[in-house]
Amino acid sequence: MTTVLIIAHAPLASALRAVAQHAYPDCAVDVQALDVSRDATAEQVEAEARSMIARQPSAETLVFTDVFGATPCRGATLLLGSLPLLLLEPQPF
Amino acid sequence: MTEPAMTGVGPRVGAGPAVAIVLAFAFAYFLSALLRAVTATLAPVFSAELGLQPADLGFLAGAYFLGFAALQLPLGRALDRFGPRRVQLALLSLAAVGCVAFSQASGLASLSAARLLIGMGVAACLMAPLTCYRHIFNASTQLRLNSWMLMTGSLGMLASTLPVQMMLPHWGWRGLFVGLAALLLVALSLIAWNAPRSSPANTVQSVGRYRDIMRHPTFIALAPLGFFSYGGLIAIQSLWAGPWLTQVSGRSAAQAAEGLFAINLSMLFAFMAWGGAMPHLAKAGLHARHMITWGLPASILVLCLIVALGPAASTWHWALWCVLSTCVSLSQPAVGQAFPPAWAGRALSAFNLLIFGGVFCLQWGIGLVIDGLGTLGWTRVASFQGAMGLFALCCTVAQLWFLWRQRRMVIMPAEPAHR
Repeated sequence: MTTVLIIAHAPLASALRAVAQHAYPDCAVDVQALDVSRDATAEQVEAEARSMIARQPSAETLVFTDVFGATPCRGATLLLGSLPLLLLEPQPF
Repeated sequence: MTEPAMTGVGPRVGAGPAVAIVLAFAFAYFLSALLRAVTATLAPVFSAELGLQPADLGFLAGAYFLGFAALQLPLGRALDRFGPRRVQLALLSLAAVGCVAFSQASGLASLSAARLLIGMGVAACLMAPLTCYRHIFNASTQLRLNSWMLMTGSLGMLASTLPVQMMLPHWGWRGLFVGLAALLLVALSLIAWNAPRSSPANTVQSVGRYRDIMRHPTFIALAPLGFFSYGGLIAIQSLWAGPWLTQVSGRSAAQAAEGLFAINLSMLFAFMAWGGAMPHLAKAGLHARHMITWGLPASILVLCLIVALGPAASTWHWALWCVLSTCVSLSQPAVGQAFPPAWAGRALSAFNLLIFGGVFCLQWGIGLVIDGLGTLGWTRVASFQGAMGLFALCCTVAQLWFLWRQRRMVIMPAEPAHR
């Protein structure tokens, strides 16, 4: 089973996870949320996300982020350098 | 650029140094245009990371213009007294400090203060080169370089969109501003290395007053065009074309962004074409005032067509209007040429302040008219049509004023007047 990791500005990630839990209660354990505070750096986001991915039993993780180019997105982008990930880039406009 | 047009009013400027001077100033102006427009690209990031609301974003964008406008009149005097090179070196240092401060900012107050510094720091990025060109190049070359500088500005505005967006995941907005500070220092070094150290200003001519400039027949003839036509061009290009495309033409936000990109690209090529054509047109006896006399009425007709078409008017109509309106940009070097080189900084800066006053008033005023007509019961589309129709009327009055007053304008010589 693929794990979904939502990396977004606080409290959006947790809020989206709550929506997922509400709609699909049986999949709740496979959806993880990483809330990024205003003062977090991309490196801190990357470290936390890496730690969360390492704790997952599933081999595959699908990562969602919010605003293109903001800190959560940058943290997710940094993961690309160290994990076998595929970045699905959004259209900038 | 090797013809005698490069002859200076003092020592001759060879083709190589002339190209180096132009490229150094153009690089700084490219960065200033990028810095002006980049808040639009970064707005979603600022909203998400710093919680800025639309009004905050508007204030932040406006802080640039506040710093920019506040410095224009002292800037003109400084350009004539100290020369473009020294002024630009001092101000670009301020802009670099502003960029570093912006990269460290944590809220609206610190962001705005830093952006105010940036606006002040890039205040001379067009006026310093135009003043320098007034000192060392002949009239037709000044017109060419004015257009090519504006083309560089359009390129900077384009660079502030997609390229900046593509860099954000790697650099972040804070890293981006540190990078821009470094690039400003590169521009500063290029200007320090290449720009002429001397200025034709002297103490007698440097004590001239702005009142004398604003009473000059050429300034009086061109002032309404600068305020309404030139200011309106920038106001619509940088703000109102987008809402027209979404709220009148019914385009999506993504389609409107593509439309704005196309409009900016069209203007870039228009400025490039003006730069290539003006020296040849000048040789044929066609000067800036002829281009304005014939070109701007065509743009007013296209604007009237846009108003009449309403929802059917979209990107390419606005692009055509913008391209035809670019001939008003020739008014700025025309003002510079109407004065002796030692007055060029003040004359150009005074006209620039007028243009940006027009940008501010028209950006605000068009919005007020749209909202006002809406409260009177007009539909959104009709409100936009009414506001643009009123703007077209203002442009027509400005054009008629120019046609009436242009006979009193100083005839622009083909070469610097005192050669």
